[in-house]
Amino acid sequence: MQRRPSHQKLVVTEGFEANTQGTLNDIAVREFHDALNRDEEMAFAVAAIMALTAVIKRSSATTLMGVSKELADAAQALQRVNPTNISLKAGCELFLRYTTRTSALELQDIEKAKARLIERGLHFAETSTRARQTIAELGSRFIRSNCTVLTHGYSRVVLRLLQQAFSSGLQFSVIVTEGRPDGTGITMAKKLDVENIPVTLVLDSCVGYIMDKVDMVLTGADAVVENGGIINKLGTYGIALAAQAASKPFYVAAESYKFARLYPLGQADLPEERKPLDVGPMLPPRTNVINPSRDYTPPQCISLLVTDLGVLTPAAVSDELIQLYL
Amino acid sequence: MFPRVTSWDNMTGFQQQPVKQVVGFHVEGASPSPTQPSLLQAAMTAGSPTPVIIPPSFQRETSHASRSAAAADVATRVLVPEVPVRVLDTSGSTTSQAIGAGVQQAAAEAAGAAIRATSSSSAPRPIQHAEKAEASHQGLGKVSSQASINSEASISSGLFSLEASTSRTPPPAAHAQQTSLPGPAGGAQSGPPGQQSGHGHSVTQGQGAALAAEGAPKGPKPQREMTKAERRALQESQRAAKAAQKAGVGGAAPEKPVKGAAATGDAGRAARGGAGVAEARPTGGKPSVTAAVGRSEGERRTDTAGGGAASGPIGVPVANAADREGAGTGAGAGAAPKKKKDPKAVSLNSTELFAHLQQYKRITVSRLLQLPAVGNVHPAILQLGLRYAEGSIRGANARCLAMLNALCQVIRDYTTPDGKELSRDLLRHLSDHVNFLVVCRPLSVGMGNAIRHLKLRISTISPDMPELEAKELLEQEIADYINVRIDSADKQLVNYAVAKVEAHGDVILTYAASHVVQRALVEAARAGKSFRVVVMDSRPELEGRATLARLLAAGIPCTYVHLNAASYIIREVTKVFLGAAAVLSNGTVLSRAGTAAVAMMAHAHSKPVMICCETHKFNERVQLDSITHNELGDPEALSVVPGKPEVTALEGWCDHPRLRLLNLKYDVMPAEYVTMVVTEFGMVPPTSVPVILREFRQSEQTVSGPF
Repeated sequence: MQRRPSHQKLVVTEGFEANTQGTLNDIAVREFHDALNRDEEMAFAVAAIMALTAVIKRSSATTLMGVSKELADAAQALQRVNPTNISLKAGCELFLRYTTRTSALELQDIEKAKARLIERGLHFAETSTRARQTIAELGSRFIRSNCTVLTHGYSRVVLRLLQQAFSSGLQFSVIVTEGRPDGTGITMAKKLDVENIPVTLVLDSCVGYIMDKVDMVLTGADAVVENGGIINKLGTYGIALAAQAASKPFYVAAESYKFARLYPLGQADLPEERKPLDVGPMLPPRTNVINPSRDYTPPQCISLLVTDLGVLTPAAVSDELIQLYL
Repeated sequence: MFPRVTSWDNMTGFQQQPVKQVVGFHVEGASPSPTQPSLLQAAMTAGSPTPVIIPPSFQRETSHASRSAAAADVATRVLVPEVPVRVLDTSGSTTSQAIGAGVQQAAAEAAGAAIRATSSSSAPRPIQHAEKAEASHQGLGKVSSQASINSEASISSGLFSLEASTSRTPPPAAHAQQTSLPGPAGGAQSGPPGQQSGHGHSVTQGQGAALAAEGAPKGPKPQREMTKAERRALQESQRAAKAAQKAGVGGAAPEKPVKGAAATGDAGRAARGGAGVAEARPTGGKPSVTAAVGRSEGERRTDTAGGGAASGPIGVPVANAADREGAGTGAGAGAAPKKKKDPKAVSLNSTELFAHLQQYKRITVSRLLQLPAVGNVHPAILQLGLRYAEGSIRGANARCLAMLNALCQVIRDYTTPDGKELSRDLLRHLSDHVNFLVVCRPLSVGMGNAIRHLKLRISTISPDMPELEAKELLEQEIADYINVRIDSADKQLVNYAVAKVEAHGDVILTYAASHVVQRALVEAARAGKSFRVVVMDSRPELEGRATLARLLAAGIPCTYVHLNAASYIIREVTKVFLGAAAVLSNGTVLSRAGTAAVAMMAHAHSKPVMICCETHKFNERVQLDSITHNELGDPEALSVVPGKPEVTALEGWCDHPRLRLLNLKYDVMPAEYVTMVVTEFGMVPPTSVPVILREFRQSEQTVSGPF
């Protein structure tokens, strides 16, 4: 970026452009990591948006088409950092969409357009950080006193929601699944315990057994897909099915930047991911092991989604996305 | 909700097979129509208790009809099939025997009730109701023997009205079963059906007794408990008695010879079935088969008249002006003049349910030239209309494109008359042309949308604009519409659809022909994906063969099956790609008849159903069934089976007084069977169709056009 040429003299050559873009991509990736390190509450999507905003600040493009292209490349670079992270992808897509919308509005002045994009990016990042609080306020109303909430895995927004409900004086207890293989449920239990919220830990395989005692299920989401279904930690689908069978409401707390333009037809349709297998030592050598880390819960299993845009039915997610993308 | 609608749809046509089977009303040679999905057939025979659904249009009519009339209608209808048997069997002696005064009266009643029922519409009601009505008319406190006569009489009276009425009247399966139950009991004492007339009579009586016995305990109503409407129905039916009976007696006699043959031929089957009702099966079937051949003209007239009178709404297949006239006049008196009607007058090609749709007419040049407005129609539109009519342009997109191109020519050749304003005169001018096209074939939703868009543009042209400029503007508008809403939309849509085909191992089912689905599959193959396609097809259009040819040409391995293999083939399918004629705002998909059955089957097996439809075919309308809006095809197409010249059962169907063929072009599938709608804007759930429509409406209002 030190060698950033003034754009009036820009002579475009292949190598030169690639170099510039390479630098911009580096900036994006560095900014992304910085943002994540700065704040452990930072979500991937928000960090990505901050990184892309940084790219616009450093951009030397003279046309909006150019800016868009640089952003798209930077977004690609970001996604290469963590190719299986859906919320990162969702954040990038959202922001790119914002820029195209903006460029439709500000065709004349490139600098003005850039300023506007940066402003939008910052605004977006800011609202995104506020999203969790909004959700906590909206969602805590769903928790009644003396109820039992089942949750799965560790989700910051769910934790915030429960904190909010507890601090408002409600008495309730939480059942947390263990969350194998990465033990995120244990993390969740610890954090709830710190808050003095009564917590019970159960095995992942205990969900069917415990469902009778549960009043509602509340989970987070890695991504909310276009038909209102969610992609979340492995086991969510099973819990949703159990909840449906037992006629218990299944609520999802998810920030709107997790809305992704994905439309999985089934479990096999999820973005592929490679994870080290968590396998016991006793396994016979010819046994295959499949170890996905996420599953897809279809909208039919979901009662409501608590988002910072409001409490939505699954069908309304698509409405929001269409308004954004159409 | 939906399966019911579908089953209704299927019942409405000529095909009443399942019902017939249950009732034991066998029509030889009347094989089920090829368009009827075997699955549905099976579902219907398997039988929900009330397989007959009354469409809203009839419920409206029913509202003013009395319950007893409806019940009587059902009763007669259920009983009808037996009637011919009995009367025929016993024709000589029994008829005369049966003419005890009480019997006559009862017959009259039943006939009257049936006639009355026509004007009302019937609701599917258990047979007991009918019996009840019967019993209550005939009188309280009568001895049981009389009761048996009553019911017998009702049966034979049913003959007149019913034989006449559409013989395919589908009594609900449940009723039919109920009727058949008492049969063995009553008929047990009687000899085999083919026997002497005296025996025949006793059979009848016995069976009637059984029927009455069954009906009576379920609660005959004393007259004072009857509703006003019921009483009126009774009176009217009594009045109607004479006419009906006269007709009936006259009609029965000539059938003797026919019957003789029939009875012997079917004796074995009848014996197997045992007793009264079963007996009805073979002979009851006979008249309808032999009718065209062996029946005397006089009798035929009777039939027609009765048909006019007694055909109820459930007796769907007959629906036409004549019938409804009869229904309107109500009582038996109305039936008499109708005797003079030519049987052909009844044979329109539609059913009453679909009478509101534009009836199919073969379009010929000479016929078009008779249209008054044809002189003003642009030759391009003339040509286009003929091509629509003959079916050489088909498919929602192709039709829309062709129309827009033709309209473009119309606009180019248009000159504003002196003293008129382009924006107004051109609108009227275009409307004339569009009306002409509608005569040739009803517009598709996509065409309607395109026309509406074009008209909106025309109406906003300022009067100050020079004509040439305005015309150029409009031509450009049409070109844009074609480009953006159809061509580019197709391309974009195909990209999304291709993305949903796995790289390996998909088995994709598609039904009939959809241009954009074909294109998506071809593109997917070109992109190196290895998959197999099951092309599903159905009579009479056999459009799937075009799909098959195109896919095979692209080197895609294919399996070709007909719709009746759906239940088998669905297991090996992984995804279903379907085209659509329109997607409505409640997510309902309007598509080629049969598509809904495919989607339903896929849904039942948890296979994703993807509808490929550009947004120019989206419509704000809401439709819950295939009845309110549909298109009727050439009924002749059902009667000819390609490759099977020996199948001639339906030859000359249009001369048959009681036979209608129904060739529906579209059906609707509710949103719950649709996994996603693939549009040019991406994949959306069917619940989001209104959102897209809303976005369009907004952009149409704010900017000059959506794009």
